[in-house]
Amino acid sequence: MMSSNEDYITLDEINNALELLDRDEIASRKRLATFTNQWPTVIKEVDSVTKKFSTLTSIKENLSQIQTRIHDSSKLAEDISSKVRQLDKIRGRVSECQKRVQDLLDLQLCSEGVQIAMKNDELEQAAGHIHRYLSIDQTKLQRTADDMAQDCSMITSALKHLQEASELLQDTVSKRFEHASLVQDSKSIERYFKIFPLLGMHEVGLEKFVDYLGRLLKVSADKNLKNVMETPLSSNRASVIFADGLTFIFEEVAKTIEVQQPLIETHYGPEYVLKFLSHLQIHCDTFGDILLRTFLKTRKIRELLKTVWEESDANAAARPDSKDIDLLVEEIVMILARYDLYAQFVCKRTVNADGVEPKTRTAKTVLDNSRLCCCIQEMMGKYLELERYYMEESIRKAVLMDTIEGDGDAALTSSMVDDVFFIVRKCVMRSLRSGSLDVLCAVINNAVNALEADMCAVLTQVLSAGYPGSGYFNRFTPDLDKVRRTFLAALNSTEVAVEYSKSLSQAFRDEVPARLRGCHAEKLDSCLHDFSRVNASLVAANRSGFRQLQSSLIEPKALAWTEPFYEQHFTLDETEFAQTVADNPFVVALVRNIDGTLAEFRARLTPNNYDMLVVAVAAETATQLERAVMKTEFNRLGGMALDKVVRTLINYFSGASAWPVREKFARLVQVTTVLNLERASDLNEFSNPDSGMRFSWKLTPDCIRQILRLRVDFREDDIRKVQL
Amino acid sequence: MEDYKFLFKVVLVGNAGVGKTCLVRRFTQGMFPPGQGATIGVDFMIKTIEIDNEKVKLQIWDTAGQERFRSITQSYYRSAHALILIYDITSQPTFDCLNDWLREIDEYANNRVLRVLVGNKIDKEDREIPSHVGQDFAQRHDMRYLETSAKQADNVEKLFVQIASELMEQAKSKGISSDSPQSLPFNTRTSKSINDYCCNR
Repeated sequence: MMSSNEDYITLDEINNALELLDRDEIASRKRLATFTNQWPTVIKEVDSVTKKFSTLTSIKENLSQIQTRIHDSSKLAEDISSKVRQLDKIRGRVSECQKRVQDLLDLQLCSEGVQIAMKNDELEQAAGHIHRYLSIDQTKLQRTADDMAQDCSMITSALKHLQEASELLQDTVSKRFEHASLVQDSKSIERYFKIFPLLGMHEVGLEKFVDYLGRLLKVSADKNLKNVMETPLSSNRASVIFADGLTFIFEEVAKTIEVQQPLIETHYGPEYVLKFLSHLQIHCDTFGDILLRTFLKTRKIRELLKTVWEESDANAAARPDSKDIDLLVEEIVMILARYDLYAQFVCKRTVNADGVEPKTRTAKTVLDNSRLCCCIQEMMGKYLELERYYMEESIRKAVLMDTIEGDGDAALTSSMVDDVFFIVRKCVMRSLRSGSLDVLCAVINNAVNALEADMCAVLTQVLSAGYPGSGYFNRFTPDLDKVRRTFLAALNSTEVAVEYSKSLSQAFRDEVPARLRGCHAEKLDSCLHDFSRVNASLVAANRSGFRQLQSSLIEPKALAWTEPFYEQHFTLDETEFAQTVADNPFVVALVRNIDGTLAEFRARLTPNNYDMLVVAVAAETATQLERAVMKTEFNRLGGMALDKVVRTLINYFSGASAWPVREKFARLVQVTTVLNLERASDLNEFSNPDSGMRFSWKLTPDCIRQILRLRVDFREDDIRKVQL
Repeated sequence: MEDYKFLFKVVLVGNAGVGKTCLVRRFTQGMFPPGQGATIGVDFMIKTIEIDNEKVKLQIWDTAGQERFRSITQSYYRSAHALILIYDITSQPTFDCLNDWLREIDEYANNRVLRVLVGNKIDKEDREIPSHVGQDFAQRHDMRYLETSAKQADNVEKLFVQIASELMEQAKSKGISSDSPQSLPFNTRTSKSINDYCCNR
């Protein structure tokens, strides 16, 4: 800014300062003018603010007024609501009071009504009144009566009347029901039956009603029993008459359930159905028990079971015939099947009752704990014993009556195996009809045990007795051919039986689950798995049969066939070699002998057994030939001649069997290879990894040296030098 | 194929109410079912356990003790690899019946079956059969012996594991697949009903 006046030294400076001041002045004027212009607005605003202040005061007043009013209103509302609450309470009391008054009026009406109805013997009406009376809260009623005792004795007396009437009515209905049930007045019975629940006598009514139904059922059950006992033996139902009788009882009970269940549900409530069933079951138990006991007595089951397991074979004639047992077993399994059906029906009824699962469990519990169920379980035990006897006895018969089938083209087979598996299948499928997996499994177990103990044992016995060869002593064996046929048939049977056993267990695995309710697959499987025990023992029997064949047939034959080899010499000159190659009588005879022997068995053995035989003959021939070779001297041409022999043999066996036999000649081929060497040192090629020949010796180095020494033209020195 | 190397069938027998089902439930499901009703017929359970890193599948047949199921029970003896005969240490009658059970086992079971005697309910205080009596009985009849409590899970696991390992040893030493119990010399069955001499009903 400007400095003090003394500082203005020059004009210019002064002018400058003046100019500055002028500019300042102009600017100030301008600002002043603006302020002046604004003034009126400011004044105006100040005015308006002042005015507004005055309104604010009134707003404040208003607000405080509103506040007071709200306060007052809330107080009022509270008052009102508490009054409303009180009113509500009062109204509740009033309505309760009204109800009680109504109850009291009803009580009065009921009391009078009952007396009139009773007088007129209108029991339904009386019961209706009592039902109304009973539906009134008894404790409150009593309190009301007590409260009003001083003012109004009428209520007390009405109450007394009603109680008396109720007792009287209960008594009357009970008595009349008894009477009606005695004279079997079914109309009155139904009438009184419906009155019981009105009097709060559900339990009593149900019990009496079931007693009555029981009496009705007893009549028909007795008649039924009489029918059963009087059925002539000539009747075509005679053999299953007890099963029929039991069926009849079950049908009667089931019919009763079917007819009465809706009544129970309507008049007593669904929750009483189970109680009804368990009461009725007691009657069913009795009838079933009597019938089954008569069954056991009439069919002499206990005595039968005693004789069935008599051990003395001397008494075999006295043992029951399996055919009779078959009939009996049929009847028992039918009894079991009928019970199963009945049990299904009863369990289903309770499901329908309210469709809740736990109900079924209780219905099942009722049945499971019933005397009838116990009887049936005992019957299952008897069934299993008899079925086992039938099965074992039939298998025994099948073994006794075994005939060997198959002549000419067909393989020898024994009828026993067919019969045995037929019996097993029959028994197992029969047990399936019982509807019980436990019974089925037990029969399967028994079947496996019987197959093992009876069928396998017989086959094992035959096969380990041996195949009579053509030795000197056997020439005098009577029925030599028959013994041989039996042996071969048994050998075939083991193979057939394995097939049968496998397919039978598979058939059960497939069929049973579809035909048995609630089949526990793993349980069944575990039992069926035991068929493998039968298979193992059949395979073992088969092996032992082949061991017998090996020692009494194959070995002596192969020895005899290879005997002429020793008569040949294998240090050949060119002429001899040419002749041998053109016609070797030894190999011709050998093949002819083998073929002749195999032909004898081809038709008599099953394909598998035959192939097994071919392989065994091939192996034995190779072994014997090798043994002969090891005792013979060779030259190069002799080795080539031997090679020809071996090739012919391999060709023959390859054509004779569907199974690979070449490997059985592997050793012999190697022996021949060694004998065919140009020089002993050629062997080094075989052990040289660079030669490109992959050769795995089946012969030991010592053995190879021994073979080399058979070559008369190899020098010991060279042989020793060979690296092996 | 299922994932296991050995498969054994174990059959439990003994009087009604000695705790066969509870033992099996304890072992297979790890629980003690209170108020167990009587078994009907035969119950079947499977449990696979591991012994020395090898899976062993046990098929456990829990038979009904009541006399009327005897025919069903008997049919299982022969295929069993191990038989567990159980009595209740607080009940003399269940111990007295052991001879009857053994007679039945001798009659029906494979004579090389592994047999184990078990005294159950050692959690109870009113013991009637002292330990050594059970032990002696087992020794006399060439059986293993163990006392258990299905309720408190005492020795239950041990029982089955021991059986499984012993059967495994047997199978290995014979070099036979556990699948097929080898065929034995067929002993002729002498089948007389046991109904005549068992006291249990």
